[in-house]
Amino acid sequence: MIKFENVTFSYKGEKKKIFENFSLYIKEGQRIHLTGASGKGKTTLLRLIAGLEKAKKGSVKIKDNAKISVVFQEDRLIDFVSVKKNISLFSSNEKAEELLCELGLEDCSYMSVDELSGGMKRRVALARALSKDFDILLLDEAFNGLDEETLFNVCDVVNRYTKDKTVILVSHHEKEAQLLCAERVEI
Amino acid sequence: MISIMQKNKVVKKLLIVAFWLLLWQIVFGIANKGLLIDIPTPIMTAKAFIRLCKDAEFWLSALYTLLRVIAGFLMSVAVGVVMGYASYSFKVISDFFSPILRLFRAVPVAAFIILVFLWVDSAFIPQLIAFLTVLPIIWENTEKSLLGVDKNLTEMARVMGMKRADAFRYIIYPSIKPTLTASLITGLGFAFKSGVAAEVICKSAKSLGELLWVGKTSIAYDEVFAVTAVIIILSIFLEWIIKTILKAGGKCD
Repeated sequence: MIKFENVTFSYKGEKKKIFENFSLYIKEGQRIHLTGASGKGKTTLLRLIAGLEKAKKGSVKIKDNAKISVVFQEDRLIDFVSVKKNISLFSSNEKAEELLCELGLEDCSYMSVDELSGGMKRRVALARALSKDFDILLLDEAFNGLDEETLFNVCDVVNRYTKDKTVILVSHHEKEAQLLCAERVEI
Repeated sequence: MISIMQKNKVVKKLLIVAFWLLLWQIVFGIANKGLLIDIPTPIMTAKAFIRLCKDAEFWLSALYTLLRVIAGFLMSVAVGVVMGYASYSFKVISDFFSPILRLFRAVPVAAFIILVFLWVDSAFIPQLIAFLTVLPIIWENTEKSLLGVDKNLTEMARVMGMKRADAFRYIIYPSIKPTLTASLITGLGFAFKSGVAAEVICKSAKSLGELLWVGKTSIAYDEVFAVTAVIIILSIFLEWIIKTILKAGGKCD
C-alpha cells in the first residue's frame, strides 16, 4: 500500500511546485501506469516512493518494511564488474543466471557492461530489479530501446516475476501498459 | 614468464636511462677539465656510493630517514582521508578549513621548517614537515574524488539495498582509486623532499639530510650526489609498494 496525502513538493532551489496538495492511494498488488506530459512529476513521484526525495508538506506512506526495486530511466549499471555480477550483487549467482537466461542474455554473463547495446543494458537493469526480493517494483521508462518482439518477451517475464506485487510504470507507450495490465493514472 | 612486450618495455626504459647517464658523464667529464671543483659524474657518484655503502652509519641514516618520512606520510594519509571524507560529507567543514589548506600549500617548505623549528624539538621536525606538506594533497584529493563518484550509482545502491561494503568495493573505491593513487604518489614524493629538507636545515642526527649537509660543507659533492641518488631510489621503491598494494586491492570481479 502506498499513500500520498496532500503532498507538496518542489526541488531544492526551484520555485516551481511539482506537486501541490497531491493525493494518491495505491493498493497492494495494484499495477499502475502513470501518464502525463513531460515535467508533470512522474519520475518525481517514483523518487518520493523510493525515498530519494522528501515531501515538503504532506506525507508519503508506504507499508512497513516494504521492499522496493527500481528500474531507473538511466541504466545505472556498474562498469567495474561483469553483467552477471551487476545482478548477483543484489541476489545470488543462481538468480542472476536464471534471469539472464529468461531475458535472452545468457551469453553476456561475463561481458563488461560497456560491450552491451542500449537494449541489452535495459534488460540487464530489468534483470537486476527482478532478481532481488521486492514488494514494489518501480519502472521508469524501463522498456526504452527494446524492439517489439523483445518487448513482448520481457513483459511476459516481468508479469511472471511480479505476481501479486505492486508495479508502478512510467512510460509514454500504451503498449507497455497493456502488456503489463496496468491501470492508467494521469498526473 | 615475462612477455616479449614487457621485456621490450624494460629494455627501452633501461636504454633511456643509460642514454642520460652517458650524456651526463660526457658533458661533465668535459666541463670538469676547466673547473676548480669537479661536478660529480655518474662514475664519481657510483664510487662515492660504494664508499658510503661500506659505512654502517650510512645505512642507519637511510633507515631513519625512511622511517621519518613514512611516519609523516602515513599520518598525513590517515588524517587527510578522514578529513577529506568529513569535508565531503559536511560542506561547512570544507568551507571552514579551505583557507588553512591554501595557506599550507602556499607557504614555502623552508619557511615552514624555520617556523616549526621555533616551537618543536628538532627530532620531530622532519616527520611533522612531511605530514604538513602532504596533508593538503591527500585531504583535497580525497574530497574531490568522493565528489566525483557517480551519484546515479550511489542512489541506485541506496534504493536497491546494496550492502555498504559492496557499495564501497564496487562503486566508490574503483571511482576514487585513480585520484587516490595519484595523490598518494605525489604526496610520497613531497614527503621525501620536505622531510629531507627539514633534516638538512635542522641537521637531524642519523639522517640522509645530515649527510647531504656534511657533504656540502666538506665539498664532497660526489657524496651529495650519491646520497641524493639513494633518496630517489628509496622514493621510487616506496612508490612501487603503494602501486602494488593499490593494484592488489583493485580487482573487483
